[in-house]
Amino acid sequence: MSITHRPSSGARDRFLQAAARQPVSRPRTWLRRVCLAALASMVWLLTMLSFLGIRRDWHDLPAPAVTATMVALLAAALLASAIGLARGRAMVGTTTESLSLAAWGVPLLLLLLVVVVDPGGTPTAAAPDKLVLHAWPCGLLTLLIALPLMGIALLVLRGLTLSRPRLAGACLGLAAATWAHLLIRVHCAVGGPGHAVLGHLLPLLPLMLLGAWAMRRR
Amino acid sequence: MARFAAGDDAALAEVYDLGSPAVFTFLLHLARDRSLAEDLTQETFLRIHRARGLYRPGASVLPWAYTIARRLFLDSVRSRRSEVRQNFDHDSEPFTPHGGGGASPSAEELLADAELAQAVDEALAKIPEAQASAFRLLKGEGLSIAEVASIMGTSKGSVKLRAHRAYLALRGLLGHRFFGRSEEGAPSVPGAASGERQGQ
Repeated sequence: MSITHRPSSGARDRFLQAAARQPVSRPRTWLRRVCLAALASMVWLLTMLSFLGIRRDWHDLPAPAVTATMVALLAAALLASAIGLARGRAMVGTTTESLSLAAWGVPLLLLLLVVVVDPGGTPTAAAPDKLVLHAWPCGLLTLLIALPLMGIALLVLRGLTLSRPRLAGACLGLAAATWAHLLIRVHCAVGGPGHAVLGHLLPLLPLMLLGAWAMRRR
Repeated sequence: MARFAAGDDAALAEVYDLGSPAVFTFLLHLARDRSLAEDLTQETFLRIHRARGLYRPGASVLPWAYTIARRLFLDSVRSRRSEVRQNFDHDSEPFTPHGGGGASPSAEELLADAELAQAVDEALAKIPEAQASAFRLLKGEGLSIAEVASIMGTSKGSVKLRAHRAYLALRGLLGHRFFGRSEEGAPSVPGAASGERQGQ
């Protein structure tokens, strides 16, 4: 079992010749990519926020609920981003346990948040027939905000071979959806858990699937 | 690797010389085809070369290389599933032990080692790739459970389970051949023996 074999010297020469012709990433590429991605994401989110505007009833909302929601959303978004983008000790991404925890734990945390803590607005729960009508623009907006963020995150991981690419992709989709959720929560004045689940939370499912699909070949 | 990642092109050959035997051996056991293993080894190190700017200082290089190698092998199997197993030549060079320097073992020991290595290789080829890879990386390459879990993209518990199943399968496949012989005075099988302990 412990016998070690060596590739032929011809294979070594072929490798060195092929390597000389390959484009190589510059030193500290990772750091540059992460910084640029953070900057681009921030610019995108601020641009969208200035375009959409802050909800009209922002100052009337209960401060503890707003603070708890914003802090929880920010923490979930940062956690999912960090886990999705991490290279790990062995350069093959985050451990399966961490990725699974993020992929399952963060959506559950968000569900709990929008059902229990999320600050209200004009409730739509009284008119169930209008729930979907009110929710789909928010869902579409969440997707539109999240897609460029996910594209940026995928660019950060370009060229890396990960041990669980699909799970990492799902985590990146989740991170993008959570950042978008944070922004939508600042903008959208429609309240009620039904609207929050359908309009703000549900888009994370297609985004996670899209992320997993986009990373399938890494 | 740190010098290589920092842009020192001269370190490329050094990285290849240090890492390629382990990666090539791993791929050779998986692919059972010397030319395919050489091609995949080359592609593995080309990927490392291209991505060297992404290297995290202080990170383990071999688990990263094994991950790329295993992924490339699985991709190659998908594209040429029917060919891989048929290309294996039992008498070809890869499965003959190389004579090293230093204190040389006796001819009988060498022969027994070679026979055992070949028997284990043949047995591992008959069990699922995930179990065989877990076993090889743990026992053959001497990596830690955490490193193997990283390479295979699974949890530590799953790695233990896969390796244990590989032990049991090896014991089943090699038991008659080697346990029968050890009763007659032939060398015993260390891997199978530990598998027997784990199986209890």
